[in-house]
Amino acid sequence: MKRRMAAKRFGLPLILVMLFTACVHSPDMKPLDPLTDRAVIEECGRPFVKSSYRFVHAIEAGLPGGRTVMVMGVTVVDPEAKSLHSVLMTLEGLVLFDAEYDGSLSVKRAVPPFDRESFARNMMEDVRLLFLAPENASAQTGVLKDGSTLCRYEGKDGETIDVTIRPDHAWKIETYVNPFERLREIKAGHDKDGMPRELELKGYSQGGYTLRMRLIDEEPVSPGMSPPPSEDETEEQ
Amino acid sequence: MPPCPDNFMMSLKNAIKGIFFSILLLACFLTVGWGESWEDINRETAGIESVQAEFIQHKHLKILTKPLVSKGKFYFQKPDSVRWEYYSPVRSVLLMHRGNVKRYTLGSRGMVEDSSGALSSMQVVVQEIGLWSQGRFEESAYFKAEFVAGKGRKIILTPREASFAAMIARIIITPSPERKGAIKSVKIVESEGNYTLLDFTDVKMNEKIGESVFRKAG
Repeated sequence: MKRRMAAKRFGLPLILVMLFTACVHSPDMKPLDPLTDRAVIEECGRPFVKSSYRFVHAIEAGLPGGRTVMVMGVTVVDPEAKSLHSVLMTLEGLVLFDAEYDGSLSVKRAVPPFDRESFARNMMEDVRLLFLAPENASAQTGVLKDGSTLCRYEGKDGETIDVTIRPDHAWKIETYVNPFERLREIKAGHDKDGMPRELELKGYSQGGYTLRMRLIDEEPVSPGMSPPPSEDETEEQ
Repeated sequence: MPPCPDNFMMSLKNAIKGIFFSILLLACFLTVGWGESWEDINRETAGIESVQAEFIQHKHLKILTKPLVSKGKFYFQKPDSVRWEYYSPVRSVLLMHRGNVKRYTLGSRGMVEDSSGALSSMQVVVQEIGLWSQGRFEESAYFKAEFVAGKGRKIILTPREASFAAMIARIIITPSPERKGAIKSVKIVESEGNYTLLDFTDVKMNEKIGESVFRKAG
């Protein structure tokens, strides 16, 4: 009897939640043909960096409890090598975190508690999702009712990555591990010149956080570029 | 940048503490008379009540091919009031006045107080300024000061605490060869190839600065 009452009490909300999440992550879409719709499918690569680039962003971090912190982020992305180098620093220029990823993570500098392995791993996951295309080919592609193109990729550890490109070229990336556990969401407007001027990343784990990123500077990176002067060269300034 | 809720603010506080040390030291060195000894510096510092200057900050990182440039203005009033303001690339104001430390940044919600600015640990630093403003750098509990006399005159500060040393390896202050009492640059070295260079222009000393400059971000 109790079981039947519990089923009545919780059954409907549970079904509604399942329906809602199913709607979120399995949108009604018209499948695309990889041969005839190739150009449309290639649009899913729009959010990701195509050649080696360096980006500087002002990052407004919204943290649990309503706290806000502003930092600067510098990222060098090499999509061919699938490598990333990322530095976080205060506005005054003090480096809080410096790490590289090229299949494995290497932390070069981290002010405690940024030296936590979990922080470094999650931070580089954010950066990788922002700049590098998913490694696997898309498993599903289609056109949504509003005309958006959706590409669904299989990530690692059972993660699903949805890339949605709207007709106005604004885009969204979502990741989740099952229909109930959303991990990250990135939204950006369209910028015809490449990297959007503004991005917003929401992380749903770790107590929830939001990163609002404003592009300060960007430049292509080539092997011929000279490194900055060494410390000794400017020591007497 | 996933947050570490328990320790994230603590880390930023430590970072900002390091920055404040730099800024407060800077405040003192802008008042330094650049004599040939610590005694000269102590003597010449005594007459300076306030300093204001424009600054350009060049952040050099190994990851960058060109420095990241920030511009702003700095105010200092004895005994312990500081305003460190960036105009670009992100508007930000750091205020220290009567033992209170606040920082405001221009974000999506306008000019709001930045959580990293609520720094109780900075009370200690504010107390330190009393020593520094009298040129008593050698008495600092946090930095060991070395005065290099002669043609390549400069002051080199190295952190006494390992926690600071992990963030700032040393600070090098170079005096202006043209103008007594002014500095040419301040270099904050974090590690090899990673440093911040501050150049000052339009330095004004002992001009009256309204108290609101140190209380209001706007």
